[in-house]
Amino acid sequence: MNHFKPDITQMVSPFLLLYIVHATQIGEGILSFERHIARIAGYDAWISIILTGVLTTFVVVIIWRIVGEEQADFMTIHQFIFGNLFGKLLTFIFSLYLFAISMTVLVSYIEIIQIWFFPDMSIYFFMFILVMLILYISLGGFRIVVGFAFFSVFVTGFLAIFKYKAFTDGHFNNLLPVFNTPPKDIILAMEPMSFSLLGIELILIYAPFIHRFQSGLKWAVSSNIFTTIVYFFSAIAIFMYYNEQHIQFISWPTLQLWKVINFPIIERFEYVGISLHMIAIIATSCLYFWASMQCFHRITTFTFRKISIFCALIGISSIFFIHNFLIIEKITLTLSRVGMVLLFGYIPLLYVCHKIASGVKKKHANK
Amino acid sequence: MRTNNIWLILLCCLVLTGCVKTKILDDVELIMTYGFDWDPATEKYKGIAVAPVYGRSEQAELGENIRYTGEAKTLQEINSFIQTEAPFQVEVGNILAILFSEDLVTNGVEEIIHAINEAPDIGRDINVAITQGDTETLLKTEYKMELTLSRFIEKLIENNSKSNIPKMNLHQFNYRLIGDGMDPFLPILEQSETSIDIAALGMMKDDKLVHRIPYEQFFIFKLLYQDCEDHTYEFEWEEKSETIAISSIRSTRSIHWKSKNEVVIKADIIGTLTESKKEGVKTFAKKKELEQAVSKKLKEESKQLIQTFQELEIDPLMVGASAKSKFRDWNRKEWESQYPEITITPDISFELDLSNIVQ
Amino acid sequence: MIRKKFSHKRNQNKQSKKDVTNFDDLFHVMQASDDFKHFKLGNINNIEVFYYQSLINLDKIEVTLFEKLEDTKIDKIEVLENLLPFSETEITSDLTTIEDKLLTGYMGLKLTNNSQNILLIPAKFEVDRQVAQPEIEFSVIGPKLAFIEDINTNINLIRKRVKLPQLHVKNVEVGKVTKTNVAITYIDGIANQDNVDTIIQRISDIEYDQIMDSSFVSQMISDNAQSPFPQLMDTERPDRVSSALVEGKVAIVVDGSPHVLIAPTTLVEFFASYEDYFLTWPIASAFRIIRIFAVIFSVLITPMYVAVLTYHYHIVPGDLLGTLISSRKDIPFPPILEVLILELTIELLREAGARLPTKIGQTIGIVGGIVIGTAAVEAGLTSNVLLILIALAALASFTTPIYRIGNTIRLLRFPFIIFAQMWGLVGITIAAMFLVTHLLRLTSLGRPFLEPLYPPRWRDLKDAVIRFPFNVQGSRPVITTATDKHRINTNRTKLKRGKRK
Repeated sequence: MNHFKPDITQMVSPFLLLYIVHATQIGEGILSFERHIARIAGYDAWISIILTGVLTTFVVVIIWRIVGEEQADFMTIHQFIFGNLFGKLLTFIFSLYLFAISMTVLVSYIEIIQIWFFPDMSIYFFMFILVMLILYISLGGFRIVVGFAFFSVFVTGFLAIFKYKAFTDGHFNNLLPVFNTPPKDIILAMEPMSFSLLGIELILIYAPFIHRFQSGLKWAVSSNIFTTIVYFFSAIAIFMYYNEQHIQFISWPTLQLWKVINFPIIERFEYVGISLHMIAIIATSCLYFWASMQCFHRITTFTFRKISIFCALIGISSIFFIHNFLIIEKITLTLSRVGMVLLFGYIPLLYVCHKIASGVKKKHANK
Repeated sequence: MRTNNIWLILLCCLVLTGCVKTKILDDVELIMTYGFDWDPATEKYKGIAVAPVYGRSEQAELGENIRYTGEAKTLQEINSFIQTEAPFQVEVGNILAILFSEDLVTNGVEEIIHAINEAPDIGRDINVAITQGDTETLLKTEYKMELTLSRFIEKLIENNSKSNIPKMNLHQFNYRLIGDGMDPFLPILEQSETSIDIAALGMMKDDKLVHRIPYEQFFIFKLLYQDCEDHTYEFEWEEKSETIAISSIRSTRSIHWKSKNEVVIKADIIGTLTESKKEGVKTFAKKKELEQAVSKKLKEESKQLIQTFQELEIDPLMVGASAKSKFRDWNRKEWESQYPEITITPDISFELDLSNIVQ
Repeated sequence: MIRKKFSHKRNQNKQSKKDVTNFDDLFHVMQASDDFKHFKLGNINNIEVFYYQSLINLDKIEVTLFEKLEDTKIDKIEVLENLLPFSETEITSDLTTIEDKLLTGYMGLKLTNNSQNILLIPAKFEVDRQVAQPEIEFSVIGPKLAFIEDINTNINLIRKRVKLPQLHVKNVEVGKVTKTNVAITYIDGIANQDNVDTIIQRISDIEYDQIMDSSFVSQMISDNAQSPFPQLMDTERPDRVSSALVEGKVAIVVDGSPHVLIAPTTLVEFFASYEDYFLTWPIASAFRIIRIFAVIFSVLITPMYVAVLTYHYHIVPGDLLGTLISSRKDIPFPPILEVLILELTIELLREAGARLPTKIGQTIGIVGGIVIGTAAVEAGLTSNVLLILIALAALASFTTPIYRIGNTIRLLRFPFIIFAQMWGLVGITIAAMFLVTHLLRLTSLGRPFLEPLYPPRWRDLKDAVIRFPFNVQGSRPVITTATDKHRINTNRTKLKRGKRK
């Protein structure tokens, strides 16, 4: 295995995994996931959140095993297991997926901004500015991307406080009786939930950028647990605030909840909330964008800068094709399926393959 | 070099400014109250929008209102109809109250409520009320008041929600309208000679008005409906032909299920004796006597109210929702057929904790 | 290595003046200037004296030098050197040295025996103002001394506070024409040698003909010269510089500049007044928080006004709505224009006030503030709500202790206003994201500018937004990567339990 060693100025401390993983996971999903999971598992869906949280924690541990002491990243492992050409092809598919997520997150948030703020906005120009911003962050290198994610976590944390309204005005009765949904539905609800917890697969790409990667496991796991807790409380709040029939009528329950919050100077918090939540969206999108570019950069001979600018242009032009809300929903659904397969199917498989391959190669080396 | 590029891009932004429609605060018609009437002849909704007129400086606050009317089948169409009358762009983002006429509510409001819910501009913490008679006449009358009409209606409902009636904003109304095992209710506004006041609470079955409870029953209803505080209750002690006022009432309400067909709504009230014209409460015996008398009276009144609800098959007290959270095999159809038969017992205990300042 | 580079540069200089090959040529060039004097002295008139009249303190020389040389007969220049009661004399034949010295206030003596050796005697004419009170970074409590234009006085002020032989001063000469003396000051054993080397390297690499002030150096050696943010702290307080030196930073003293540069530095340091250290820590922390709040307020309030009034009438509460609408009823402009007009007025007032003499400046402030403001509102050109907001924003932008960052903050709000006009609150968020990214990408001597916020360093956070008491600040800031990390032995600062203090 020939290892990739990034520039030391771009590396970050393992403690920051707490923020990176959390920022990747929290995106547009937190505004609407309650409806998706409640549709399948009713108001017992909070169990699915916990189950998904536990399952993803296992995936995090598996990722740590795959990466190993050598801090090998996805590209290295792929090439190690599947050979140069096929490995590169797999990495290429994977990076396409990352790039698609990066853009979908943006486009689906632009949809919210269009509905709430400016129905007549020129989305092409808006998208252009956002992609420029992402490019500006990404070209600064991994340290800058993480820095942005770091600040975004404080913003989402601040916004999470405003769910308090649901606890004061809601009805706890909505959650009772517990375990009234068949276990099968609870398991099924893990699928839309796992889309909300996607983001840990990126660890495979930025692993070499973390100092003392092995000591970062505790931070990554705590981050995953923290995200689960955030989702859990968010779901409890929304379930208390809306009843099971009501929630199905509402596209973004959290935004509707913010409508009720007012302060002496701010009458409708949702306008502030949507604006601030965009920071989290950009952070997520940017992490995915950076990871995707890193993959492309590693498997080709282009510089990071060139490939980023090229892909940014593709990203901007992509909005000419996906401007219909049904297409966005379709893409989101497809990506969530892919993400789930990747998380719970491909990564464990990769672990097994890696074990076998390293075993075989060791044997060869001994001979 | 790189930063240079970014500044160039910012410059581009400057050039391309002005792609979004502006809604400058003083150049829009801010609709603050929206009333809806039902026109049976054309089967259309008739919307009456009230917008305030602000003076040129704070001292010259006019407190005047402009009214616009429009008739159409959908809310958006009413809005654009209103636009034909208004000089500025009509904006509904600042609505403080939505009023429905009695006719409309008797026919059902679900359609128009869903239309309102679909507008992202409209908030959820806004007041919803029914007007006795047409909303048009109520809103079109000129009143002498310090505030603008919209602010007056908002403050009227909001302040009464703290003491006399339970709070019911658009979100809570939706919650009860859509949810299982509960029915919404709305305050009914009535036009008096010089002003507007809250006449009754309109109880609804799904989205239709079926019953109204008068001012006298507000207290009982609120007691059975939620925890409340800062309330006054006038108690007529018939045995002693005496009228006593009790104020600063704090009560806690809870539902206890004995079995599937038997439920107790428990309310513990703590109050202060304020107006006891003839005699004060000086001994423990006297206190106990008074407390029991009040409890008994309230129990009777509650029983009556609950019975009415059961007869009408409406559930504003959300007993159904409570049953749903209690019993695993709850389902809506079964519950609806059962509801009139189950025994709902009010268990009300009253306790005096303070007396008045005059002995 | 550095010295090599340096001497290499010297050689280059020499080559560029090809025509000057011997002393006579140099003499010829200098003679063209009318303030260059030369005459002969001595018994047999064999001592040539030459100097620049404008650079020499003649009184000092006349008494000692001329009297002694009146009737002497000297044929060796070393004898002459021993004869004269001056220290720092030098005998050299190196043309560059001779040129440099003559131009910095030395007097040259030469024997007319065709020798190229020249005796240089210091006779500098000092014209510098007295050390005075700080004007920009004034503090109510604490020392009231500021640097002046003379480099030696400035270093003297620093040395007075840091009494250590390890306080090293490295001199570098920059500016092709001005040949400004720049002293890089640091404490050996505390400051990281990498930082010192980087600074010396960057300063020696400066290619420019004139260095008139430390801000020239600052702009030329900062990591990102295009940024509106200063990446080197400049201060006129000797106590601040000394304190920074002790923390392990490097100070750059430039001759002719009353401002000393400190590097590396971080963003939060620009919001810390040195007076914070003279107050008890809860009060100092409160002031710091107020200052940071003021900055955020100053940048965001007018964009918010534009955003809310142009797009988001929803978020204005009912009680405020009447006030806002009434105040804007007569105004013919959209909020963006209203804001730009008023912001421009404030900028004009400030600029005019800064350019004019103090007394007239004050008048301008009053005239502008009261007359123009009131008149604008009465004429219906701006709303009085906005007038209050703009005045507050302007006031808030002056709370920053370092003048330079105050300028940045004043200009920063204009892109925000433009974005607010484009997309309301979303636009402000986008602008804020661009700003944060820019700050994240900035470095000061290669160290992150946003430290200790990002990367999060808890040790440095003790003296960032909140200034914790001295006894818990046991180590030097991580940002300086000091060789000697520990400031004090924290074990000894703890209160001894059960003992009376």
